[in-house]
Amino acid sequence: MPPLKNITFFFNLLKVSIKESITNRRTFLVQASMMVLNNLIFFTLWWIFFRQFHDINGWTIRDLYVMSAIGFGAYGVMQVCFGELEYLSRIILRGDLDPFMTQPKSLLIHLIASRSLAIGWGDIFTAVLLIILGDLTAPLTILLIITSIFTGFLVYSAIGIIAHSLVFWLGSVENLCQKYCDSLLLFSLYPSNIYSGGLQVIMFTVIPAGIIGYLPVETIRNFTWAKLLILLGSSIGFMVLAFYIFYAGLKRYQSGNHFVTRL
Amino acid sequence: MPRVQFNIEHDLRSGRLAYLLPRPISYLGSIFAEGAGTLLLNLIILGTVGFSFTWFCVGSVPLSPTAFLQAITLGFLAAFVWLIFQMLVGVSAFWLQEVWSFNWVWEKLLFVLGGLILPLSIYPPWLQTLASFTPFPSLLGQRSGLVFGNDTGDILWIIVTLSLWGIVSLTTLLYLYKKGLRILNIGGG
Repeated sequence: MPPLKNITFFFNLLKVSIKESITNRRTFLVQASMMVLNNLIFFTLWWIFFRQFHDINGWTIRDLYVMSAIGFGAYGVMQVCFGELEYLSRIILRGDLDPFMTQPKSLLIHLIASRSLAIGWGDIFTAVLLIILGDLTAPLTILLIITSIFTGFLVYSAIGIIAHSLVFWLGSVENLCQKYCDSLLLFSLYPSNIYSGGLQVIMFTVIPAGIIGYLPVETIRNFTWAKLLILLGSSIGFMVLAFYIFYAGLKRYQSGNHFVTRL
Repeated sequence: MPRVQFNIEHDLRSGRLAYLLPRPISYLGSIFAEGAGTLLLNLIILGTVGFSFTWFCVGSVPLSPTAFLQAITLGFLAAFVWLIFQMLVGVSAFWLQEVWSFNWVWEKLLFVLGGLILPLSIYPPWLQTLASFTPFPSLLGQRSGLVFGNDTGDILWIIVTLSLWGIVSLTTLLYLYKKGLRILNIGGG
């Protein structure tokens, strides 16, 4: 399928998924507002911390506003766009890929974008709130934050795909896959510059929280084209790797022989 | 902590509650007993591992036998009150269908106002005052802080606050459960 058709298909699918996710308005509002509250309570910890200790390896509260806005925003976009991703391993294990495989569309995109999670909007609203509260409204800063949210979204999604694809080789390890994804979210909400040596290498490779949080903050602090290119290149690289791993694993897929109807 | 709130949510959403209600035992009582049992098991396994690991790392037991006994007793009391609060979160499923969004807020408040990640003493005074009006410090930070200086007055204060919060949470739980059951009846069970 040509890339342009894939993109058009993705946006059409997204439109339908979002509509479906917000059908129950009351649940949507409760979930989104609870998520905003949850995120803001978590951010309070940083606010308390920076009242006592003014910086962490040169990072101030402003940098934490940037990092958190990017982290929450990227995770929210992932939940809105690829809501089915966290169920991917379960679908593979049950052998429920069949109805997706018989359709002439990109299997992976169709699969992960077939659901949109309403709670993602809570994360996106939090990001907007943090941008306003942190006074990050300079045009270049906003542009870089939006770019970083996009790259963060790619990295979260890529690691999600890679983690859940592990079940092709390892079998019933879906809880482990989810823990791996959760650890990425957790680490990306802490400044990666507190780690050194081997741990910092891990933060840019196995658990690439540094690409979601640290690199964008450094790019915004001291902008250079080289940093921006590394940010874009590494996130796209992770996505390409994720697609490669998923399709490599797909060769080992065994159908569940279920009759499933998808409306 | 056993995640009893999700058991309640599951019973409500799957309709299992309709089968459990006619049984000659209290539903809330059975959930509490189940949670308390898991809690005891967790304490034996995780507590032993945690205690041994810390002992191995530190090289000595930094508690007197009396303080150790106090820590265990207060730990149990706090855990039981905590369990009731988790059941309160679970009962919210009568109105919200899913409890995880409410559960996140409960957990985050516990972390922040309970002083789990940062000690309450470094908080701004207004936030310390706010925290003191909630059950969180007595459930976590304040209670754990007794390990470093076990004054009898402080211990009694924690026991009183925990007991009061226990009564408040239990009364609210029973009230909301009754109200929730009425909604369930209207919906047909």
